[in-house]
Amino acid sequence: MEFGFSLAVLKNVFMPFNLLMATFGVVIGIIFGALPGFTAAMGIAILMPITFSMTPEAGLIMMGAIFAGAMWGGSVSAILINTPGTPGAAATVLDGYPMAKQGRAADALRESVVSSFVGGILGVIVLQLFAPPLARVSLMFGPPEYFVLAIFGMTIIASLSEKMIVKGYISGFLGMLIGTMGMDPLLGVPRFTFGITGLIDGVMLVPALIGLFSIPEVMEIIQMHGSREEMIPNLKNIKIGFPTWAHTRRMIPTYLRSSAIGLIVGILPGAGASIASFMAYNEEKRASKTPEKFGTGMIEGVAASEAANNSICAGAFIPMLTLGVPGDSVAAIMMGALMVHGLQPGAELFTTYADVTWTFIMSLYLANVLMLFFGLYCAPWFSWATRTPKHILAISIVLLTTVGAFAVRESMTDVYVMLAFGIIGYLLKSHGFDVVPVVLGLILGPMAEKGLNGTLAISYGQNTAWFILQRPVSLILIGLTVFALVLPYWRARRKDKDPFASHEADIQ
Amino acid sequence: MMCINRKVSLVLLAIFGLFFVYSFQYPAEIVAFPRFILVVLALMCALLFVKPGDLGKIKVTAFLTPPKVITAVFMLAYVAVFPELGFFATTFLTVFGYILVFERSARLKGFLVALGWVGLLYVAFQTTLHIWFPEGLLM
Repeated sequence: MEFGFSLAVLKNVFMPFNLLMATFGVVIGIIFGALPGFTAAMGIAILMPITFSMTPEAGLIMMGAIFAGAMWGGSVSAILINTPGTPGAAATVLDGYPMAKQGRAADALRESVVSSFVGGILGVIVLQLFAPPLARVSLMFGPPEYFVLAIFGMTIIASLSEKMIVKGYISGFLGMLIGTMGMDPLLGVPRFTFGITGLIDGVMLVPALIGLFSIPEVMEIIQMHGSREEMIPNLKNIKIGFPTWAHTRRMIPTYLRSSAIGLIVGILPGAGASIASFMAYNEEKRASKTPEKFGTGMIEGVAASEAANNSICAGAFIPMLTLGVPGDSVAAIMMGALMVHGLQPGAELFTTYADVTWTFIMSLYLANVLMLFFGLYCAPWFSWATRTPKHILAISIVLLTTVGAFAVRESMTDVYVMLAFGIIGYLLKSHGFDVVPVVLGLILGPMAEKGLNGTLAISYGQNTAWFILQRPVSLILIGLTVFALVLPYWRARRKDKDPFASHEADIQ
Repeated sequence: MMCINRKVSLVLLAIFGLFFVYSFQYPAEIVAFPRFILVVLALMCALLFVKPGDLGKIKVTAFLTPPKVITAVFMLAYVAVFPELGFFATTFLTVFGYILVFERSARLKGFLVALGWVGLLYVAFQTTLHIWFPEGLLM
């Protein structure tokens, strides 16, 4: 079952319940994406507890579908009300909203859904082709390699942090520090639990994720309360429908170029959809014969941004499924979900649990097809989501986060953990720190510690550093770590900027 | 006036310092890794102090706008009262009260939205997923 084509997998994907979950996931994802302030990460974090009582296949199918739906849903509010529903749709605003103002909202929505579909499908093809060989590489990993891999993950995540590099590192290592709470893996002694019995097993990842991704967003959403409501174009009688073949043929180079950018950025841990969509947009502008028209309602601008931000979905899953290093916040949450369902990323996912993994990967095709259908035929219905009053959205998230955290183990401790992480997330975000590195630190911290302890054990009597350096895979990973550390400074030097200063401008 | 990033770095440095001191309660071999992380964090904070960059101006009042304070109070109250009053009463009162605070005249709307959320969460979690919420004093 090298590339997942087996009858058992297809049977799993098209099981009535799994089909229902994929449909539910896409619809919920589009609604979450269309609501400004809601993100795919938040949607998946809030709804993850629902999946615990399902089979791993059904749960993963639903979450993958939410991701695919939300990535396109973000363009609905970007095009209609000039507010990106998700960070990945930020570049879609540039040409999507001018198109809507010119009375071409239907064209913009059609282009966004078709390019999202193409980007999404190309992404899944690459995931299908590259994940199994990369998973086999993970078989060569021992404790030293896992230790260096965790450090590499941390450096690249932080160095790609959107705000400030040093703040990215602080967030990441803070996550690692929090990850050390609970039972020490060496002697089995409780550590940093402050006498709280609920923390003996460590910080539960799911409530922590719910808090980190939801509470800061609640505060941002409620801050928008009472702000001027944008006029939303009336789409009631508009039929979007399929594009013409001539138009699609003209757009093929844009789709391919932008999807490739999205995939590459997706594979890099921590880069995120907003970087991918801006990079694709800039590249499209550079390749265009009329770059000066970008920003005034160019359909290529919408296509580039959307193809890139949807192909990133599958790209982000490649390092997560094969090496246990999540490509972005959603992949980090999905990794948490895998662990809750008893699945460990790595080669085992493609051998022992191949049925589950391939069902999930193949279901991403289905999710993209469903997204295309709902986008082309139901887009006007989703535009109502952008009209929901902000205070009703805010209290709805409060309910869902509390009940969702409680549902993890039917314990109030998880609700308190969620709240604590929500407060930490809000304080960090409001001071210019990114919360994504915290999550990745939480995941990679225990991996690093376990790897270090294992290395110390097997290198007994030898110099540990020299022991690590003697292993070829470790050496390659160290090289990549050094590259990841040097890259931002080199880029900053090239652009004659202070490497510690904000490089948001780089993205734009 | 000190730049906000410098203030943040000092606060974080103090927190990490306290954490480092607290780590001496444990045998050295089990806190070696956390201590290494704390040292890295301290170095990063020192770097942030030396090179604070330009974050722009953050006003303390931005954290404490009335809608944010109201939301935070409702959230904390919901979590605190949830195990005592139970799921039904707490959820209904929280949603109804919150909507009334923002739209004083929307009593019917608040009532219907609150009832809708209680019903939806009950069906989704308790009936379908068999997750038993606290019943509390008021059921």
